[in-house]
This record gives sequence, C-alpha cells and structure tokens, in this order.
Amino acid sequence: MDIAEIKAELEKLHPASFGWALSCCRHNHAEAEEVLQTVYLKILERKAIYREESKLKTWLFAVIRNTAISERRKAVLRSLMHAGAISRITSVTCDRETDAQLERSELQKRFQVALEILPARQRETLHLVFYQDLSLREAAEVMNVSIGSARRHYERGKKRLREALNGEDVEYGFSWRRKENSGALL
Amino acid sequence: MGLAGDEKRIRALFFELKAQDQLVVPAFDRLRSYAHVSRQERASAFSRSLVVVSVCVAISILCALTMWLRNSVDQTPRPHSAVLSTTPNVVSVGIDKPSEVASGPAKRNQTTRSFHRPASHRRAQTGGGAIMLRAVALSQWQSPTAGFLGSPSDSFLKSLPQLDQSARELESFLPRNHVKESSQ
Repeated sequence: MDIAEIKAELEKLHPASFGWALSCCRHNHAEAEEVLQTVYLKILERKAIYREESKLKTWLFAVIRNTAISERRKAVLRSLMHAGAISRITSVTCDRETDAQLERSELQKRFQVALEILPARQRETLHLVFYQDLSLREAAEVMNVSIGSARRHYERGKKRLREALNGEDVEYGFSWRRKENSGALL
Repeated sequence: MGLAGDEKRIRALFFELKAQDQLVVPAFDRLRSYAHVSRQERASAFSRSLVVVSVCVAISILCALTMWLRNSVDQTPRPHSAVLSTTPNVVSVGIDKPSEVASGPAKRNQTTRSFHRPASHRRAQTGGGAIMLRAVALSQWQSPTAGFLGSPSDSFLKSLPQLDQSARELESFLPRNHVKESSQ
C-alpha cells in the first residue's frame, strides 16, 4: 500500500480514529489530538508500516493505542504523580458539563463516569465492540491479547457498567479498583 | 436472537457518546498538515545537523592528514635524483666540517659523499644536528672490498731495512729464490 492510498484510508477512518484516541486518553481532547497527530507522523515517516497482515482499521487502532500509552508514560515521567483518578474523573466530568449540550441525559452522564472508572482493558473492549463496531476477535488484535482475554474483559466490563447504570454506588468502583489494582495508575 | 437488554442499552449509550464526539472531531487536513510541517521541520533540522557533522568530520580528517604528512616528510629519505643538482653544495658541507671527514681515500669518500650526502646537505641547510651526525656516518663509510687491497706483507713492503742490520736480517727482506741464487 503506497502513501497516497494510506492517506485516503486514514481520512476515511479519521472520525473513528479520533473517537478511539479520545477513549485511550480518557476523553482529554488535547491529548487525543496530539496522539493522533503523532500517529499520522509515524505513518508518514514510515516508522509505522502497514504490512497488510490484518485489517487497516485494527492495525491503525493498535498504533493509536500504543502511542497513547507511550505518551501517557512520558507525561507521568515529566510531571509529578497526580492525586488520583478521582481528581481526573471530576475534572473530566466538569469538562463534560461545561462542554455538554443542554439535552444531555442524566443516564449519559452516569454512563460516562462509570466508563471512566472501569479498568482500562474492560473500557477498551467495550469501546471497540460497541463504539467502533468491531468483533471480539478484532478487538483482541487491537489490544494485543488473546480472544479469551478479550471475551473476559468484555463480560466483566458489561457487568460493571450494568451495575453502575442500575444505580450501584460509583464509590464501589474506586474501592474495587484499589483492591484489585493497588499498584495501577489511576 | 437479538441482543440482550443490557447490551442494547449500552450500545445506545455508546452511540450517543459517539454522536457527541463527532461534533468535536478536528479536521483531518489540519492534523495532517501539522504532522507534515513537523516532519519537514525535523528533516531540515536533521539535514542541518548532518551538514555540520560532515564539515566537522572533514576538518578533522584534513587535520589528521596534515599531521601525518608532516611526520612522514621528516622521516622519509630523499631520492637519488636530487643528488646531482646539489653536489656542489654537498662538498661545502665537508669543507665546513673537516674533523668529520673519513680517513680513507679522499676520492672514494668524496664519491660516497656525493651519493649519500644530498639528504644531509638539505638538512644542514635546515640546521639540524641529526643531519650532521648522519653526514659523519656516511663520510666514514668504507667499501666492503677494501680488505682485498691489503696483504699480510704490507708491513714489510711499506718499511725500509736499516744499514746497521746484519745480512741475515737483510735476507729476511728478500724472497727465497733470490737467497738460493746468492748461495750458489
């Protein structure tokens, strides 16, 4: 695939790529733009080469995900550790509220908060399956995990979201995360 | 069988989230142009740094080559073709340093000097002490066949008998054939 063809395909997938970058960057628009720009630069400079071993969309999403992870690690090394996920989520919700449309439902707000609380793998799996309309196999390729792991993340993520949307306390998510992922970055 | 209720609800919520995100998608051309500009800036910076590095490498190579040539010029001997043009000046070196002249035949030494001295002549012009030492060594050179010109009886041939010596002592100077004739 030559550069011109890749550019055309990138343009077609640009909205979906941005949505995926948003999910990888916890809905931080500035970070998502920077990650996407870095990805396009990598592809233009042939640092990331599409070898046609999988679909272009799954390959591109894998590159976006890996770039977002490396950018996040660089940000953590550059700055001091943040206070935790609570401040980030509250800031996200505040941003959402400031940027939100007038007719946003309460359920959508709770849904987005619950989504942010989910573990990364579960959130990514749900996003890829429901937001990007990928199959579980394709989602496993993007996340570089086995199909069994992807299915596990999918089922657990759905369960957590259902509990959150059915009125379970959001605080449960925090304590659960701290218990199971005590060393993880929030 | 359709999707479960939860899945439908989750899918609907994701669809709504997707619609919201689509409103704030940045233009593809803008992001790509930023990426393209960054790439050009990086390429120009890289080319500039490459030019600087190349110039530094070239300068260092030239300096090393100059040093090497200077050292090799001091150590290499001069070719024989330069001898004839400098022969008159070479003789003056021998005249200026009479103590350094060899004791052998003057003609041979002069010849050897003429063949082996031009390097010393040039160095004498430059005023090096090592050059004069070399000139002395060369002037003291003797032919390896010089021994053939000598004989064991040189001491007899080069010396004269004394008048107050006896006949027997005189006979020692004569060859045996002459002694036999005299006795007959």
